[in-house]
Amino acid sequence: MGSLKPIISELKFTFKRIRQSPLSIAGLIIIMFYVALAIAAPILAPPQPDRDPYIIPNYGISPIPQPPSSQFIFGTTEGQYDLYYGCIWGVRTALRTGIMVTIGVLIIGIVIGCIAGYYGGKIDEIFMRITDIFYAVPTLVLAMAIIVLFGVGIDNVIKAMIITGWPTYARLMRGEVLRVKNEDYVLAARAVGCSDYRIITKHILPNAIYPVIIMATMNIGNIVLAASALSFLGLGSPRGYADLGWLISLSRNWILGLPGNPFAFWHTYTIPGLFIFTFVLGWNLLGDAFRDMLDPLIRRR
Amino acid sequence: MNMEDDVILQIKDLVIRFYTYEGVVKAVENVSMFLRRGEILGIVGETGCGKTITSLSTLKLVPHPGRIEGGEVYVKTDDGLVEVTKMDERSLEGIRGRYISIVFQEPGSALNPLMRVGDQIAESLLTHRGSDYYSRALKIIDNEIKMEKGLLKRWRLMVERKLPLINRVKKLVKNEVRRDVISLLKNMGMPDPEKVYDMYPHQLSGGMKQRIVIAMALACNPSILIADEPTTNLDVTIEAQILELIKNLQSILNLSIMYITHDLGIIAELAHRVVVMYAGSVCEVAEVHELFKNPLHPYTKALLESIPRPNKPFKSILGTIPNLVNPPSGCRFHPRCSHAMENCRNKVPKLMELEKDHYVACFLYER
Repeated sequence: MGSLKPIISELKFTFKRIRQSPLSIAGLIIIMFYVALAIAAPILAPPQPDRDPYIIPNYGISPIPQPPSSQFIFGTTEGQYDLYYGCIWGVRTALRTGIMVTIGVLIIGIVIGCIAGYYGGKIDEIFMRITDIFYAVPTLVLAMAIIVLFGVGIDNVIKAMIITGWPTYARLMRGEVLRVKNEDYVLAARAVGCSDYRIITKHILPNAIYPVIIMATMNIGNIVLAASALSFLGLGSPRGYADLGWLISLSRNWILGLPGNPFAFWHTYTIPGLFIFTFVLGWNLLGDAFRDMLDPLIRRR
Repeated sequence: MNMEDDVILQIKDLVIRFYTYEGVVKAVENVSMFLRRGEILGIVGETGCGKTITSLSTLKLVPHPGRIEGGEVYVKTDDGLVEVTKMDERSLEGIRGRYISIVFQEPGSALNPLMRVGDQIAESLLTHRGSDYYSRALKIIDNEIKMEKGLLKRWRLMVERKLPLINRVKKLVKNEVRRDVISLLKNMGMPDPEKVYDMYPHQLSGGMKQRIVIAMALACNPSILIADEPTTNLDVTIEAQILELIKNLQSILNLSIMYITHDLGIIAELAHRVVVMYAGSVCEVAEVHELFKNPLHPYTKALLESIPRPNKPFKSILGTIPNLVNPPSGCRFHPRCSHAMENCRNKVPKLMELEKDHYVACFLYER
C-alpha cells in the first residue's frame, strides 16, 4: 500500500535534529530514566504483599528522621517512612498524574476548541465565555476548592487539574482552528461535499494540532509541580501515599535541622526535591525538543 | 429568460451582501445568468466585481460575513430542478461535488498539505459513492463465502468479514477506490499515477497540483464545473496544458463549465458564451464571436479596447472601480461611462435581449 519512504526520511531528519542538540538528548535521557524507574518500581522497591503498593511502608513510630543507612539507602523521613520506596513510587505517581492530566486536558481542550472555532457565532461565544470564567479564577485556588469539594486523594487532584487546565488548550486550539478554517483546502473539501465531522477530523485537526501538542509536552512538568504544590499544602495525597510533594511536605518541620547542625536532616527535603527538580527539568527540555521537531517554522532551520 | 430544457444551472436575481464593519457591501445585485448543458460559459470582469462570489453561491458557499439576500439558484439534478439557496447543509452535501464542483484559483492552497493527494481525491468518491463501494465489496465477499466448500476456511472468511482490524470489506473498498482514483489520474494526463497517489502536495509542481485539484472536482462525474481562474498562478506553458485539459475533458464528459477569468484571451479561446460583469451586476451576455465582433455595452467596448495591442497606444478605462459600500446610483458604470445620460444616474438598466442570445443592460439601447 502507501509508500513509507517520505515518512521514514522525515523521521530520520527528526532524529538528526534531536542528536544535534545536547539539551534535547539530556531531556530525553532524563525522561527515559524516569519512565524506566516508574516501570521497574515493583522490582526496585518491591511492595509488601497484600498492601497497596502506593502506600509507603513505615518502620516504627519515632517522628525523628533517620539518616541514610544500609537498610534505608535514602534514609527515613518523619514517621519512619522509607524515603527510597517513597521516591521510586512517587515517580510513578508523578508520571501518572502528568500523563493523565495532560490527556484529559487535551481531550477537553481540543474538542471544545474545535467546536467553538469551527462553528463560530453563538456557540463560539458561549464556549469562550465559559473558558473566560475558568480563567478568571486563580488556578491553584480553583483546584483547591475542587479538591475540598471532592475530597483529598490523588484521583481528585487529577480531576481538579483537568478542570482547571483545559481552558488554555481550548483557547489555543480555537485560535489555530480559526486560522486553518479559512484555508482554501477546507473550502475545497466543503465544495466536494464533505461533512463537518470529516472536515474537522481530516483537514482541520491535523493542520492545527501541533502547537497544542507542543504546549502539552512543555506543560507536563508544570502539572507535576502544581500537583506537588497541592500535596505540600496537604490537599493532595492522603498520609503515607507515595508522592514526592507529600514527602517534601513531611520534611517541613526538619528543614532547620538541629541546633548547631542545620543540615542534620538534609536528606528529608533534598532527595525528594532533587527528584521533582530533575523530573520537571527533563520534561521542559523534552518539550523544547518536541518544539524543535514539530514546529514547521523552526524545524528546518 | 425562461428555463429551457437544456439549461442545467440558472441564477435568478441573485443579491449577495457582505455585512462588514465599514458598512454593507453590495457585492452582487440582481445577477441573472444561465448555463446550458455542454457549454463553456465565460465570466469576465475586473477584480472584485462579484464573479467568484456569484459562482460560490451556486454551492451556497458564500464566505462569512456574506449573505444571500435574495434570488434563486436552480440546479438540475437526477431528481429534477432544485433550489440551492434555501437548502440545508445536509442536502447541500449531496449537491456539492456530485452535481457541481469548483476548481479554485490557487492549486497550492486548495490541497491539504498533510494528506496524500490520492486520498484527497478518494475523499470525494467516498463521500458520494461510499455506500456503493461498500455494498459492492460486501457482495463480493459474501459470494466468496458462499462459494467456499471447506468449513474451516469458510468460517475464517466469515470472521475476517466482521473483525475490525482485519476487516476485508474495508480493505476491498480501499483497493477499489485506489484503483478508480488512479484511472482518474491517468485520464488527467498525470504521468506515473501509481506513484503520484502516495505523494504529498509539496512534492508536486503547480501544474500537477492543478491537475489533482481538477481530478478532485471531477471524481464523481459532476455535470457542472466551476473554474475560478484556474490558471492565474501558473506559467504560460502549463496554463496552455491546463486549458487544453479542460477543453478535452469538457468534450469527453459533456461537462458544462463556468469559467471565471479576467483574461479575455482565454475567453476567446475557450468559451462559447460570455457574461460580462461590472461592480456586482451583469452588463452584457453574448456568444463569444458576437461579443468580440459586436460589443454593445460601453463597458464591454472599453474592456475590449484596453487589451494591449502592438503599434497601438495603450488605452485604459478612466476612473476606478466603485466602492461597493456606496455604489453609484442607477447604472453602476455611469461615472466612468462616456455615454452617460440623465437616465443612467437615476435608474438601474434592465438586462434585455436585443438579438437572439445577446443581452445587454444599458439605456443606450432602450426603445
